[in-house]
Amino acid sequence: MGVITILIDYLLWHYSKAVVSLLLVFRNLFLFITNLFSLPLLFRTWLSPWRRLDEGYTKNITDIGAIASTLVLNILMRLVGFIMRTGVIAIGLLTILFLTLLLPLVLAIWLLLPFIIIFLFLLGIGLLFK
Amino acid sequence: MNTITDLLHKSRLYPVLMLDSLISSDRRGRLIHFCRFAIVFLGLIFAFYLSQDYLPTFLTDYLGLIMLLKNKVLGLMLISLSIFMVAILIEVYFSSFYYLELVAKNLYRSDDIFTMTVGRILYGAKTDDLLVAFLHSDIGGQIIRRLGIGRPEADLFLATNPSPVSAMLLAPTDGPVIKLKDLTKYIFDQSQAFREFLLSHSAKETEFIGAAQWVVLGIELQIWESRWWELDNLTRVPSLARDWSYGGTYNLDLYGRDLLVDRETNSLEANTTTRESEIRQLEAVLSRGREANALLIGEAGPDKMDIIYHLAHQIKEGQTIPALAGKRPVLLEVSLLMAACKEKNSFEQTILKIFSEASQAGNILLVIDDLANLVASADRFGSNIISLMDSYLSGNSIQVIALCDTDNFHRFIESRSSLMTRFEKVSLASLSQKDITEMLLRAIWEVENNFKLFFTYQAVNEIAQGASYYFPDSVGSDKAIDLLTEIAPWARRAGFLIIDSKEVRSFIQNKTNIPIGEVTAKEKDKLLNLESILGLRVIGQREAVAAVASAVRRSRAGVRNPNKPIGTFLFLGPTGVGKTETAKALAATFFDNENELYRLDMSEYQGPDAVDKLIGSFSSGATGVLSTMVRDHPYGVILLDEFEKTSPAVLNIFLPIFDEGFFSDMNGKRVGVKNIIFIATSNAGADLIWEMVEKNPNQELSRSVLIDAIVERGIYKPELLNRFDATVIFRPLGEIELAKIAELQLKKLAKRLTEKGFTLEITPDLTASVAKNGADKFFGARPMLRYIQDQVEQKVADKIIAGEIVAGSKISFVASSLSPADLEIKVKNL
Repeated sequence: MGVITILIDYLLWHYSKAVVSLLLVFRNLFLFITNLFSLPLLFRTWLSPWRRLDEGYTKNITDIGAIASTLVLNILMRLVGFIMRTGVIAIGLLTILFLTLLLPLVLAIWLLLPFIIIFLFLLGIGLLFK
Repeated sequence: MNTITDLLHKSRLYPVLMLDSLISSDRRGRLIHFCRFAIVFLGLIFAFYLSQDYLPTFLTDYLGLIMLLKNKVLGLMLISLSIFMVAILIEVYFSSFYYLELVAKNLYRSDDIFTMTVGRILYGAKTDDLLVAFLHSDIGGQIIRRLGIGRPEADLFLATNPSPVSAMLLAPTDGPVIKLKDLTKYIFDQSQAFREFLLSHSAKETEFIGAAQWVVLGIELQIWESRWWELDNLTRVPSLARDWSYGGTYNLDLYGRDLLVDRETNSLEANTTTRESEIRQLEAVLSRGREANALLIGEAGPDKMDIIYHLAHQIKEGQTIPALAGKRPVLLEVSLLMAACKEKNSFEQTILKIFSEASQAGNILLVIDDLANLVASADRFGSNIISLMDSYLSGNSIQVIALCDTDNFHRFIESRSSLMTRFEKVSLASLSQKDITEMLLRAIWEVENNFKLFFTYQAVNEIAQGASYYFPDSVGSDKAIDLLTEIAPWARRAGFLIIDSKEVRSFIQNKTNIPIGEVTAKEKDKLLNLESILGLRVIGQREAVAAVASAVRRSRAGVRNPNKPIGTFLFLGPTGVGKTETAKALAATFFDNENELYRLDMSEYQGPDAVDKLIGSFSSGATGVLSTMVRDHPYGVILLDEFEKTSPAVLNIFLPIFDEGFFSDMNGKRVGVKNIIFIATSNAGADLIWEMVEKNPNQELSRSVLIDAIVERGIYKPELLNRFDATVIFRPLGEIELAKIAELQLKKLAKRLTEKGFTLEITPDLTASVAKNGADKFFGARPMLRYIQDQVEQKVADKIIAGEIVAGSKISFVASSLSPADLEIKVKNL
């Protein structure tokens, strides 16, 4: 009687609360990856100069040389920033993609887990006495 | 009827509790461990089978039997794997219910009836007695252990068959379910025997409930830490590439410290804080769109910086508010900056560079460690720093937290309205002892782990009390943490493994010299015979000695008022009757050191500047003698000599000192005197004492007559006299007392001479002569030392110089045959 009560209670938990908890864990992992790779910040500053290393332009508009040199430097800094950030954003997005693919798999395994356990156990017994 | 079984059956948690009792936590752990080992072991064998084609033939031939058993191995491995998964699922199932209690407390429903912790205690009950169930449970054992009660003592208590505690009236007091707090309080209220048992181990209700909450808090934190998948735990991992979007701060880094990499940010103080309210206020100010600048004001001490370290710690752990997420807190050290700047121009340029860089960097939380110093130094350079900083402070590109001591705030900052409009004030509230205890409770686990010690709840309480009581000048929380970190290595060295309140008291006694530890047999003897011990030094003043001895015993027994000085005495009497000697004897007895007597000649505090001299002057910035004396020597005897000669204004200062145990110095800062014994000596009414003694030499002196006369003459106000713990009247000394004093003084001289190798024989002639000629009717025994010096020491010295006294000589004095009033020296050489 006791074992049956426990079993019913367990199965109710396994297919209700536990599934919700699993989804919450995945939500946490998605948020963690987003935070780990600073994705919102990197998207916002994708084209910003590397470590804000940009120079102000000279007020003398006739000094074409100085303006050109500042322009080149600023473009270079933005380019460095863009390349580095693109790398990190790509890795972050790939990790999120991996998690997204993992979610249905883990969910399916979880839902089938009681059957998988019974199957593995019976298979094991079968092999043992073969 | 509400029996334990009824409660259990009604609860939704019943199945999980049943499972927990069938396969206990320990068993689950062992099962998981065993299965894991079996899977790995069998997996290795199976891997061997899979790789047989690549292995040398002699090996596969040699291990042919294993090859034959491949199906069995695989079968066993699959069985182990399925058992392992079942064990893991049970663990997850169980912990998800436990999680309800620990983290998501509001998820409990009324049909749960009780929390998991309470459920485990109830399920473990073999009878319908809650008390037995509690004491036999694992958590009950942990709680009473935190109260310094071991399992054998609990078993002995249960062996006395205390009345059972039924669950009939057990009900939730706060929320839908019965919590551990409700259960512990219920058991405490219901069982008188248990209350007495706890009381016999110095644990009252607050300690019992507090210990229960402490144990639960420990379990909660431990489980919370193990749940790595919780968002709070995941965000502790620092973000990558965050810095790439922000600029560097070359100039600021020259004069500042990056708090994210500072060692202090990971210290014990930074991990635990009782300043949640101040931190929330800071966060609110720093979340503003513009003018996000906070001015943190508090007493001088490390509390302000501890808050900053805690904030930095939270930023580092990713546990702060969104407005501070990813910020880099940098501490600008004003003294370093001022040391580097020699004149106005370089100072202004550096300040502008620092602010401009910090502003451009985009992620700087600038912490100025001493705003008052910055402003005052700028004033010295003649620079208007407020206008220099204003454009940055008013904008939205930088967040600033400036720290300032309370007195410097009033002195330098408060009056500058243009600066004040840019900052929002956050004042540090003074900490209650409960706050300090709570902080210690959270900090103690780390110390226990590091030093392999065990602290009881009472010990933690004692540390919190000791910190605020015996170290009044320090900031409470900081001193408490300091005490905790000092006690741990001391206890290890002393060989203690369990720290209870008595070990804490012993440590404080070692540190302060104030006797508060356990009364030892030797000390007990000393305390009970204090009158006779003091009487050996103080001759003929039984009343004074008795008053002082009582005060010492009161203090030592811990029944004195903790918010007043240890003792305050007014010694009234003529000169040379032993008032100062009593004070010295008191210092020697109470603090075990005569040097703990500090003397203030109150006749020096008569003029209009007397008060300033004593407690300091705000206008001149000079510190006061009394303030300095108490800060330098917070434990000891302060002798206020010739108390009547000081000005009435000074006398008024002592009213709150004697009454409340503190005074405020020139900066309004509190100076605690709770660990001081004040002795005021006074000749006031000496003439009256003489008069009374002459009229009735053998009668007790009438205190009321004397005090009335003193009040009438306007020497002391009644409110001042009433604030003394005792007004002790010293009698003029009679011939017998003077002879005893003479003998005492001569013994001291004899001892000194013995150290030089000479023997002084104290003859009746010598004693009588010193007592007669050395004493004076009005100056008492005071001239006696001078007489001994002139008549005895001088003669001995002359003979030593003349070579008539050599090592081993025996010296004696007899009445001169020519003039009996004089003494004649006789030397006998061996």
